[in-house]
Amino acid sequence: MSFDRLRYELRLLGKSVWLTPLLVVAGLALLLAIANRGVTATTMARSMGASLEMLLPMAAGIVVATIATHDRAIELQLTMPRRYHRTANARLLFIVLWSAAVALLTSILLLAFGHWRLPMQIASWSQPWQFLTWQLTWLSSTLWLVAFGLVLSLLVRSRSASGALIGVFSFFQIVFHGTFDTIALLHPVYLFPLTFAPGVDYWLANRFELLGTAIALLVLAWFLLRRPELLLSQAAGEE
Amino acid sequence: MNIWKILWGVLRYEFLMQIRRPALWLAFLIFALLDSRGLIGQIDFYKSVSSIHFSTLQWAAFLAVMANWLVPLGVGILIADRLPRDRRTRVEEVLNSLPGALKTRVLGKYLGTLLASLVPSFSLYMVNIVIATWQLNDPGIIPAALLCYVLIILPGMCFIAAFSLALPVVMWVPLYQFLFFGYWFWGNILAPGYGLPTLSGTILTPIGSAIAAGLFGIPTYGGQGPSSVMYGTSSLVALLGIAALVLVALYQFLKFEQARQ
Repeated sequence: MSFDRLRYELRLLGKSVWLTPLLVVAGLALLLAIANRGVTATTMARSMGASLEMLLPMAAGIVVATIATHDRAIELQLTMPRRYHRTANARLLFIVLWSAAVALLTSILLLAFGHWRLPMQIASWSQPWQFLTWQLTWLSSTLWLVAFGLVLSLLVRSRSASGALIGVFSFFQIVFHGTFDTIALLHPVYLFPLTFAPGVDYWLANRFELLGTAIALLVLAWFLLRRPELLLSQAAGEE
Repeated sequence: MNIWKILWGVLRYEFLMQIRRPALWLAFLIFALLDSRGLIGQIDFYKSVSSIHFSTLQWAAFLAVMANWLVPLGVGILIADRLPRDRRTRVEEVLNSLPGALKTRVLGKYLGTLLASLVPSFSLYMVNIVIATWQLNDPGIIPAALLCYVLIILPGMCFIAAFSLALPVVMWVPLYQFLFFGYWFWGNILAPGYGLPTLSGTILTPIGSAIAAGLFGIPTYGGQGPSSVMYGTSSLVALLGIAALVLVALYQFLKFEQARQ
């Protein structure tokens, strides 16, 4: 991809896409800092860990579901030799990389300031392996929700409904986290174990299972993106 | 043209446009699966707690709050894209050139989209009520549930629908969607004792916990504070009043934008 094209795509994505992850992480940190009503070090670490494990991936998923498969000039682009799936993949990559940059920077700050919520499984590991493995906290959830968002937007063909489903699925996991924790069959889709159950003995397996299912969803999305009829037709009322 | 005819026309078309969205029905079908699963577990749990003895009306109020934990998210998000869609499809300019007053259009759009979104929401609620009636073996829950729908669920729906229609005019829709999820958890479900300041437990809880606690005396999400009739009534009035204020603010903003063009 040429530099000009990269620059053009970044401009097309717009400020909102770039500001959203920053707003999510900085907004919660600011809320915790300003409205500090009995916030302990533990709740601070838990809340900031949750911002990386839950909020950032949810935001990335909703953004991908909204913009990755939508382009005002898609009819024009489908007539060009360059396939649209490359454009969609590039946008997906930008969003994931930007979320990753924000998450990585935040996790460095959390480590530096001591607000570090560790899964029990890697609590005794030495650095830098502990720090690197901890990054799976946001990486697995982000990739899973982004892949889920992409597949949903292609199958449902409604940006609003895709966003709603991503949010509701995540929300369901937040409210009924106990169910996801106790039923072993649900562990491969349990997105937020660090926030609700850092002591579990399946944290590492769960992170890799999520990565595996995310890759499977991305492969499915790769095939779906090659079907122009899915890209051209919106569901009724979703124009 | 008669203002009521314009209102009826806008309301009718907005209602039809919203209710014919396959995405609306698909989203609520998936909500139904999640919601019913959560509800069955909660009823079993509360039945097993020996210290809790609910009357029929209290069970209905409890079920209304339980049914309301997820559904307003769908209603809010599927209303959020209605005004931006008018801009995207360039219908707004056409509508602005028509004689219908702006305030009638805003009100018609609000009522039409809200009523249409409430149709699958109410259907899902009734499915939950039938499940609960069977689980609790108490047919009296059905009429009580209808009363609770009006008193507990509708004010919150009016509140979130007003914000969902208005805020995306000044905010990117996906950002609004995300913030709405965050708000719903923070302001309705997060326990007030967690440490973060929250609207949960105050009268400004569209999930209906304050109304249910005040009018029906049941413990609900963050249902803290004085459980008096006044507490419940003030929550109901505040939710409806704020919804009306938001609609007035939306009308004023759109009028200001129109004047600038």
